[in-house]
Amino acid sequence: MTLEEIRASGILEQYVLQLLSEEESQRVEAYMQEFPELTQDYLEIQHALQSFAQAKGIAPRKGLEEEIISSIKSDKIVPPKQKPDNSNPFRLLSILLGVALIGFLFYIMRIQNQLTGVQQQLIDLQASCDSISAINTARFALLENLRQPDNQPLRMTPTDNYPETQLVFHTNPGTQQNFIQIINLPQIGNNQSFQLWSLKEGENPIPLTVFTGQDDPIVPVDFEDGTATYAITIEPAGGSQVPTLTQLIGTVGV
Amino acid sequence: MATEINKEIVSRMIARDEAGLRLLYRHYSDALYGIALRTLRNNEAHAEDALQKAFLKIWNSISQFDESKSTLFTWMSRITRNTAIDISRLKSFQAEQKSETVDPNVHKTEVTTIKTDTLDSSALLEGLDDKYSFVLEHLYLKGYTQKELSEEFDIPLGTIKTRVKKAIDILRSRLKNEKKTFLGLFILITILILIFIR
Repeated sequence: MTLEEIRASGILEQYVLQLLSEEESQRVEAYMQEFPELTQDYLEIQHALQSFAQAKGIAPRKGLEEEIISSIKSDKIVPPKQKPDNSNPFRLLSILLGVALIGFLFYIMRIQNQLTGVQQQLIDLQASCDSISAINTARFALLENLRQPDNQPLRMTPTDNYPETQLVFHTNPGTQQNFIQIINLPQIGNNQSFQLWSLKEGENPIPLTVFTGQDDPIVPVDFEDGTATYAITIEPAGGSQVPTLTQLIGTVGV
Repeated sequence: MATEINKEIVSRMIARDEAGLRLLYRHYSDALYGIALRTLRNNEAHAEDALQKAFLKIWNSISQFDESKSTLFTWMSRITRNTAIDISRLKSFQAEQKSETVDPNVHKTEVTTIKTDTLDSSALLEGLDDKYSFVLEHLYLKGYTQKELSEEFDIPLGTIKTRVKKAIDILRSRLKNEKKTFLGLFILITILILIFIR
């Protein structure tokens, strides 16, 4: 565009009135750089519009001047944005107190967690003690039975296949109670257990107590009245109805 | 003269001198209030609010005013118009406008005396055809966009642009003529005084 074309286009007037897009405004600014003569036009257009605005001016109500000036005076000192004042001792103290408080809370939480752990340990130990105490009570009761005058301790005779078997069979016909005192038993698998049998004259073996022999050295077992011989076999876990004679570990005659 | 006054206003305001603020108010408040009031559809309360906010912005950002980019009045009028436009977009203002029936033709009495830096206003506006004055008033004083003006009053955009250009040309021409007349009178009086002294 030539200088005259720019002047005739009215784009300068539109620029002053802010009616142009950003791109168009930039173009006008470039024109003004390119043609310094346009500066005078630019000034004259602004003066023309100022005169128009002043000619069309409307007087505000009386008193507004004082209101505006007093409101600006109360607001006039626009405090510059200040950097945080780290030298303020109260600020520093607040930060330190904050950090200390967080640390204290963390410490309390940690202690609380430890206390909870100790309490849980105490409960577990208490339960363990109760359990041991119950076992001991049962053992004392058992020993009391074994000390009865009618109690007969009988050593079991091992079979040839299981010579390592060592058991004492306690039987008390008076109280009709039997106990096995385990000294040594053959090794069995997890899917096996020991089973006591009652053998009576002219009858089939009667299946009695099934046990593993791992929990306690003295095992209370069934008493079968009229039994001539008690026998112990190795059976599948849970026991059988008929004894596996090949796995007979021992017998004891009563 | 305008430049001198503007320089004083600017320098005093930069120095945070209240006198600069008063000078500014007395020279330009009518024109700026006229813009605010028209942009806000003659709502006086909001126009006063806009003027107050505009003055505060001018006061707080006077150091950013760049003489090489625009005149002081152009800069201030943009601040005032934009402040008024911001208020006009508020829901509270729009709700108020809906509830009020303002006759757009009812205006406050316009100032007929122009401040020290301008010439006689009646002479300035004389000969400025209504159709030119109308377009300029809506775009410059009422904050209309060209599109809004075109749609609301059914005037083609091209016509609006032409009328804007023509209106400003007329004003520029009148200002030049007035200055020439003033200068001619000044020279004539000086010559007469010199002759009389002799």
